[in-house]
Amino acid sequence: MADRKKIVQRCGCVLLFAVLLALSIHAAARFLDKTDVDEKYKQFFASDTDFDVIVMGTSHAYNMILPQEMWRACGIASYNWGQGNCTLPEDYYILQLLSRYTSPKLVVIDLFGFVEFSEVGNGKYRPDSRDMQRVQFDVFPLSGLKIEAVRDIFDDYEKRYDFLFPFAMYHSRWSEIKKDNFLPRDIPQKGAAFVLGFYDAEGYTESADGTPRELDTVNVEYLDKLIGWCRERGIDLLFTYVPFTATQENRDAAATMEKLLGEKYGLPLYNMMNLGIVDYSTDAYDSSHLNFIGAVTVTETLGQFIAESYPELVRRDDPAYASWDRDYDKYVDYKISRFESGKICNNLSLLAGSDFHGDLYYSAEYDPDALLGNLLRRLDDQLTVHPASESPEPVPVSGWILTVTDLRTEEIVFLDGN
Amino acid sequence: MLFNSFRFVLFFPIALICFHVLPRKAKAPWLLACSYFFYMSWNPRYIVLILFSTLLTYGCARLIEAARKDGSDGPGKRERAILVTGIVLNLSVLFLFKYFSFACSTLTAVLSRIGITAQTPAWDPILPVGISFYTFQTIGYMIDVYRRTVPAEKNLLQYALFVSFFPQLVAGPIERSENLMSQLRELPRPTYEAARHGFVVMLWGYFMKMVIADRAAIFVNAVYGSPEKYPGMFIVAATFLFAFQIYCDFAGYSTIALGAAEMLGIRLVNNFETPYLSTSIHEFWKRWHVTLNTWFVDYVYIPLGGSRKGRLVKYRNILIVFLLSGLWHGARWSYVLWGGINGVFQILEDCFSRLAEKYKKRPPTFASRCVKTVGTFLLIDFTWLFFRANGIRHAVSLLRSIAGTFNPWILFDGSLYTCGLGEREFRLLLIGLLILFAVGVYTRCRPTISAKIERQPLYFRWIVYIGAILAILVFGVWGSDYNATNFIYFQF
Repeated sequence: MADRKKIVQRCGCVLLFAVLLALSIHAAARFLDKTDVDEKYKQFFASDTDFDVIVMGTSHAYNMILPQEMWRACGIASYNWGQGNCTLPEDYYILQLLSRYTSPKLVVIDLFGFVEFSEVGNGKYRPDSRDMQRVQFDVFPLSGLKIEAVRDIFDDYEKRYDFLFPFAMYHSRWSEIKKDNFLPRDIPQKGAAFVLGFYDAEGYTESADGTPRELDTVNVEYLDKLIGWCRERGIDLLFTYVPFTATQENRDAAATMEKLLGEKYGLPLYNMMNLGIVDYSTDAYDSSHLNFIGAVTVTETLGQFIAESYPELVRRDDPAYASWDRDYDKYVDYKISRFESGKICNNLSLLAGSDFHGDLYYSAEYDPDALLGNLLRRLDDQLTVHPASESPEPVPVSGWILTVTDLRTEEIVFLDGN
Repeated sequence: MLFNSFRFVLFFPIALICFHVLPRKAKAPWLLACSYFFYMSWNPRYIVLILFSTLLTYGCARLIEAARKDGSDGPGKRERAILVTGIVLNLSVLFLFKYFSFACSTLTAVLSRIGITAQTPAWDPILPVGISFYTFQTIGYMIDVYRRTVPAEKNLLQYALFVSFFPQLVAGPIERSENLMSQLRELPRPTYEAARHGFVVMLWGYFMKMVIADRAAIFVNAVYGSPEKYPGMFIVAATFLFAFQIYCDFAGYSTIALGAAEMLGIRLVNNFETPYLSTSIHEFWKRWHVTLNTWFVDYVYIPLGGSRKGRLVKYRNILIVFLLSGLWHGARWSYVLWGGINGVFQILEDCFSRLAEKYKKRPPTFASRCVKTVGTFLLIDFTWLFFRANGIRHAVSLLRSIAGTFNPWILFDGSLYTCGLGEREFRLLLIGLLILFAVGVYTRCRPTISAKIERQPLYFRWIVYIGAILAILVFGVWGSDYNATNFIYFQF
C-alpha cells in the first residue's frame, strides 16, 4: 500500500515537473520568437472584420499587391498572404489554415512561378527558400491540418519537426536578440511589403505573345485541389500575372496557365503584363519586381477590376469597416517613416497614390539625371516643381529642396535638401 | 537516430516507460527490440551485420566452451583455432566496410609509385554506425571466454542484447561481458533515485555535446576548411577549440549513454575521467576513452608481452597499440600518424620520467602539477591537429601556416568573431568551457556534482533541472539555424 502511494506520488511529481518544464519552454519560446513575422500577420489575427479578398502567390503578389492601397483606391478589404518563392501546394494549405480565421469571398492568386519553378525539388516547395515559407506556417498553431500540410509538402524528415515546433529554430535567436525586438512595432501593410528602389529597364516592352505548352507537374494536382476546395465553399478565384520585366519563358508560362485555366476549369487569367499600365523606366525595382510606384499602379488596377466584378465587396461606406480607415491612417504614418534624408528618388516614389503632395524646389544650375527626370514626369499629379526662388528655405547652389505635405492634415511631414 | 535528434527524444521516453511498465520477462526482449529499432533507424539493411557479428561470436564462444577439455589448465589448440577464426571473420566485416577502400587506395598509390597501374575495385560503402564498437566488444567477449574469465552465454537473446544494447551501441563505451552481461541477465529494477541520477547525467552529456562541442565545431570547421583565409593564430585557436570539441562530443555522447543506461537500471563504465586535467601523457590515456584503451591493454598490449620483456619490447608494444588505436579511429594515414605521435610521446615521457626520478628530491607542488597539466594539454592538443586535418598533407600545410604567419593580434581585435561564431556565440562558448573546467576540477576533488544536487531540497533541484534543460535547448546547437536574412525576402 505504502509502495503504491509512493509510486503515485512519484508519478505525480514527474507529471508536475513535465508541466512546469513545458511552461518554461513555452515562455522561452515566446521570448525568443519575437520576430517581424508576428508583425506581418498581426493585423490579420487582430482584425474585427472578415477579409473579403485574400491575396496569395510569390513575392510578385507580396511586393506588388498592397491591401492598404486597395482599400484607399477601391474600398476593398483584403489581406496579402503572398510570400517569396511560395508554391501553389503551399498556398493550398495556407488558404485552408487561414480560412479558420476569416471567410474570404475571393482569393487572388498570382501564378508567377507556377510553371517556371514547377520542377524544382519535389515540386511542392522550393528547398532553397524553405525558411521563407516558415514565415507563413509558423504563425499557425499546431493542428492536424498543419501536420498534414508539413508531412505532405516537405520531404526532409528531420526538418519537418522544425515546422511543427518552431522553437527548434527560433531558440538560436538569443545571439541576436536586442531591445528593439521588444518595443512595439507596427508593420501596417496587411501582409504586403512594398519596396523602394529602381532598376534600369531601358528598352523593355510589354508583350503577351507567349506560347502555351502542356503541363503535367505535381502542382497541377494542387491547382485542381485548390479550385475544388474553393468551389465547395463558394469562394471565387482570380488568377493573375502581375507585370514585371518578363522574359520569353515568363510569357510562355503565362500563356500556359491561361490555356490550362480556360480549358480545364473555365477560369480566366487576368494577365496584367499586357495592360500597359507600368512605366518600366520608373516603376521597376529589379528584373522581377516593381517598386512602390509600380505596386500602387498594379494594386489600383486590380482593385478597380475587382470592384467592377464584385461590387458587393466594396466596403467603403460600410460602418462595420470603420477600423479600416484607422488602419489606413497608421499605414500613412508608416509611409511617412519611410522618407529618408538624401534619397530623393525613393522619397519621390513614396508620393505615388494620393496621400501626399510633394513640392520640389531646385536651383537653375541643378541638372536632374535621367531617372529623376522620368520621375518628375511620372509623378506629375503628386508633385509640383518650383524654381528655387519660391522655396520657403534657401536652396543650395546646384541643389534642391523637397517638401512633402500630408494631405490629411495639410502639414509638411518631410523636408529634405541637397 | 542520434541522441540529440527529435527521434531519440520521442523514442527514449517510450522505450523507458514501457521498460518500467513491462513484466520482468518481457524487459529483455523489449530492450532488444528497441536496440534493433535504434540501430535500423540509420540503415535497416545493416542490421544484417550486427546479427552476423552476434551469431558468429555467440557460436564461437559456445564452441570454445564445448571444445574445452575437463581438467585442462589452459586453452587448447582447438579453442585457439575457433577463437582465431571468430576474430578473423569478425574483423573481416569491419575491414570490408571500414578499411577495404583505404587499403585499396593505399595499394594503388604504392603500385603507382613503382610504375604499376592498378584498377581499384569500386567498393566504398557507407560506414555502418557503431561497427568498430560492437566488433571490439564481441571480440573482447570471445577472448574472455577463451581465457575462461567468463562463461559463454547460453541465452542467445541475452547475448544479442549485450551486443546491441542501444545506449552504448553507436559510440561506446566498449563494455566487457563481466560488467554488462551480468546486469542484462539480472535487469535489476531501476530505482527512482537511479533514474533521476541518470537523467541528470544525460543532461550534462547533452550540455557538453550540444552547447560546447557542436558550437566549437562551427569555428573549427570554418578555420580548418579555409586555412588560407584563416592562417597562423586562427589555426592555433581552432586547434585549441578542437581539443574541447572532440572531448565534449565524444565524452558528451558517452555521458548521455551512461545516463540513459542508468535510467534503465544498467551501470556502464565511465569512458572519460577529466582527461585534460592529467599531468602526463600516460595519465591522459588512462583517462581518455578508458574502455578502448583498457581493451587494447588487455587484448593487445599484454599478449604482446606488455612491459615484462624489457624496455625495448615495452616501447614496441606501446607503439603498436597506439598505431592500432589510430587506425581504429579511422581509415586514414593521418589517424595512424596521430596514434604514432601519441605513442612516441608516451615513450619519450617514460624515458624522461626515469631520468627525472633519479634527480627527484621534493614531492610535486601545486605549481608543478599545474605546469605539467598545461604541458600535457599542449602536447595532446598538438596531436589533435593531425587528427582533425583532412590528411597528412593538410596537417603539414597547417603547421607551415602556424610557423609562417605572425598574427597574434587576432586573438584580441575581434577577428575570432569572423570564423562562423559571432561575438555572443563565442563568449557563450568560452563560458561553456569555464563551466566544463569548473565541473572537471570539482569532480576530481569530490564526488559528482549530481550527487550534491540530489541532496538539495526539491524546489532547488527542479530549478536546476529546468534551468539546465532550458539552457541546453536555448544555447544548444540543434534544429535549423535561425538566420533573419533567410526569412525576409525584402524588408518589411
